[in-house]
Amino acid sequence: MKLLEIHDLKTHFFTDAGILPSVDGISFEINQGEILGVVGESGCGKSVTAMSILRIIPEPPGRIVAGRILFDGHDLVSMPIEALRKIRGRDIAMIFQEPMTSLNPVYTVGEQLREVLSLHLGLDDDAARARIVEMFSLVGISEPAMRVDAYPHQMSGGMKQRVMIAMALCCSPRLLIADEPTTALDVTVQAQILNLLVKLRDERGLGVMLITHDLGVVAETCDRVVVMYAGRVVETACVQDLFAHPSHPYTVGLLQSLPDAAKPGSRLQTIPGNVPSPLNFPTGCRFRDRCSRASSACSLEPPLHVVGDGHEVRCHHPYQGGEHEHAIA
Amino acid sequence: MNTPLLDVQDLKKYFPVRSGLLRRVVGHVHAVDEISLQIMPGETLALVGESGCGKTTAARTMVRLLDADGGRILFRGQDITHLEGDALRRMRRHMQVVFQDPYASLNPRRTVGEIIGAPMVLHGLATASDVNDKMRDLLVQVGLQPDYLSRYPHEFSGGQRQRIGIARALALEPELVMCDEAVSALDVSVQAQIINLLADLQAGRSMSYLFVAHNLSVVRHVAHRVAVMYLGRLVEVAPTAELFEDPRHPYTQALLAAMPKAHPVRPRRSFVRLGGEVPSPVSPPSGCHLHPRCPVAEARCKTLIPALVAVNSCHIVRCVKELPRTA
Ligand SMILES: Nc1ncnc2c1ncn2[C@@H]1O[C@H](COP(=O)(O)OP(=O)(O)OP(=O)(O)O)[C@@H](O)[C@H]1O
Ligand SMILES: Nc1ncnc2c1ncn2[C@@H]1O[C@H](COP(=O)(O)OP(=O)(O)OP(=O)(O)O)[C@@H](O)[C@H]1O
Ligand code: SF4
Ligand SMILES: [Mg+2]
Ligand SMILES: [Mg+2]
Repeated sequence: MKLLEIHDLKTHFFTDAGILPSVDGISFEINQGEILGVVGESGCGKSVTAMSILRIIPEPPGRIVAGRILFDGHDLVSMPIEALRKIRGRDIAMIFQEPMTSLNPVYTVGEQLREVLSLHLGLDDDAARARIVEMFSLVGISEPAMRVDAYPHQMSGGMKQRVMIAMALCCSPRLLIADEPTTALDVTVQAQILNLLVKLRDERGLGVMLITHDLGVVAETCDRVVVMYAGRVVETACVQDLFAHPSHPYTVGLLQSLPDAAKPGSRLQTIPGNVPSPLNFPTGCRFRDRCSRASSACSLEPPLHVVGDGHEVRCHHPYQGGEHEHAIA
Repeated sequence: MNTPLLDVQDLKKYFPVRSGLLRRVVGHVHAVDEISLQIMPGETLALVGESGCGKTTAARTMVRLLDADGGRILFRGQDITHLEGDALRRMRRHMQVVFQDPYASLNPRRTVGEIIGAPMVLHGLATASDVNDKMRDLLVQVGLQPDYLSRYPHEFSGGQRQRIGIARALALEPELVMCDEAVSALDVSVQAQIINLLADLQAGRSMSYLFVAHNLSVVRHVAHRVAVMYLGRLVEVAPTAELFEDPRHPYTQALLAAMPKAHPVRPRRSFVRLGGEVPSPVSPPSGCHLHPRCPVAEARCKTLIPALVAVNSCHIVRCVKELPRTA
């Protein structure tokens, strides 16, 4: 069942320098019981997409200028903000990319979770405390009963991140938007958190939008993947297809840049050039200045090709079939 | 053998833990517990370990952003443990930090140009007339557009901010850069670009790096040596290839086993985990801190704090299994 459907979302920033089309016509969906990975170049609009879903884009300068975001069939974009507030934090929870800045430094972490629990579930102090301690141990915080009274600055980066994860999961949401939830965590704690998400997906049908740069995490936890570039979705595929038959030249470049693919100490492969500034995205395919397969056709909007079951790519010259032999050692 | 660029001896850093209404001190976190490390000119040393084990605290104490509670820090042979005032400021130029939390470390009221340019002018590395050109070059080197100079930190994505932090650190042409999760918020192609840039600077200017990172594929690629920490203590130090091929400490072994691989072959593999609870750094387990979770622990691990033992001249490990057997 479809939990979230995004149709042609556009979120732009109106700055002194000009209009930044940071998210420019994005569509994808997340099913119940599915972990959708979202990957893409830094600055391509992943966090802006996530913040658009909850309508927490700083306005001005930002604004959702077009599109629909259906949650359970209800459009979040046009919904009155009071109705959306009831959904936020309860049905849809978010883990922010920079946990350090989303915790309030003057309250203990316990006070911050208690507020969420009393707001959405109406728990009293004792019940809330018990729930917090339970959540803290679920996300692997040691001495949870003691950590409840700690201030954010007394915790390491990874501990704050786990507090944020506990806060997001404490009201048993149906959709979790997780923006780089495990980057500040070592691999053993990361494995623990990812196991928890997989378990909630399988047992409770949790839907997850997992934004991450770590393709290892994608390979191991995601069901499907959306690849973004410069404010657009360029490829969508199930996780096996994405790694076995990457089709968009950007996706291929991304997989080739992995350090796993190179000899230690050697130069890493990169994609030539830099991400274009949103102030002057090229016309047509926004990747064309950096693409080895580009032709004159690429200055026109690339068409959407279906290259496999549920595997779509937006490109004039996608890699197809066994054309691209991708070998990661 | 030449002198290390940075020589840290028995470094200690404790934090008080307060609790209750009166916020009385009820204990101490031994965030850094007698750590000794050397970084040679032109070397990249990686520092890895469980979240909360003290990596950031160790790095910050080494560059004097935090005061040590014990031990000595030598930079180019000079004791800087208690350096203050102007002397400290002059020395700082040579030891730059890329912070784990880019947003909190960038002044929100300053433009990118002011953030990067002001220290360059202050330290005489640029003049009012050429600072703009130098900053534009730097931005391009870290993969950002030069027209970003007039924008403010909040206008950027997480990875863009991280690169602003990198540009700021590199602007002062330091000899040592502490990279605390410096590339973790970057997608792999930009990450590759930054890693290549750091390698070029190392080759050209013999720069040294202390590289704190959770991503072991990246560590394996960039580091010459790796130091592994567990609950404030070093448990293993070895050349990178040797550590990945022949990890001796059970914690290092668990860490390597949990490393996610970009192999879609078996995406449903269940993760290897260390058993047991993550212990509290306030009252860490006795003996070897790992013993309650260690798959090969024996009785004496509960009581004996194993010393660091040399496996060979460049590989040390702290585990009872490696202690010489006495008759
Ligand atoms: N408040 C803002 N004002 C102006 N521009 C903004 C603002 N917030 C984001 N942007 C711009 O929107 C674009 C997309 O940013 P976003 O944070 O979504 O990137 P991202 O894909 O999450 O990148 P990363 O992987 O680095 O986190 C960027 O070019 C950024 O500069
Ligand atoms: N200012 C502080 N006051 C009290 N405790 C602190 C303070 N700063 C850090 N700590 C504690 O010191 C320990 C080490 O923290 P540190 O930030 O160095 O860990 P880390 O290894 O960098 O972790 P991560 O990988 O999560 O960033 C943690 O237990 C943390 O809670
Ligand atoms: S449309 Fe053209 S430029 Fe764009 S990715 Fe495809 S081949 Fe490359
Ligand atoms: Mg982001
Ligand atoms: Mg840290």
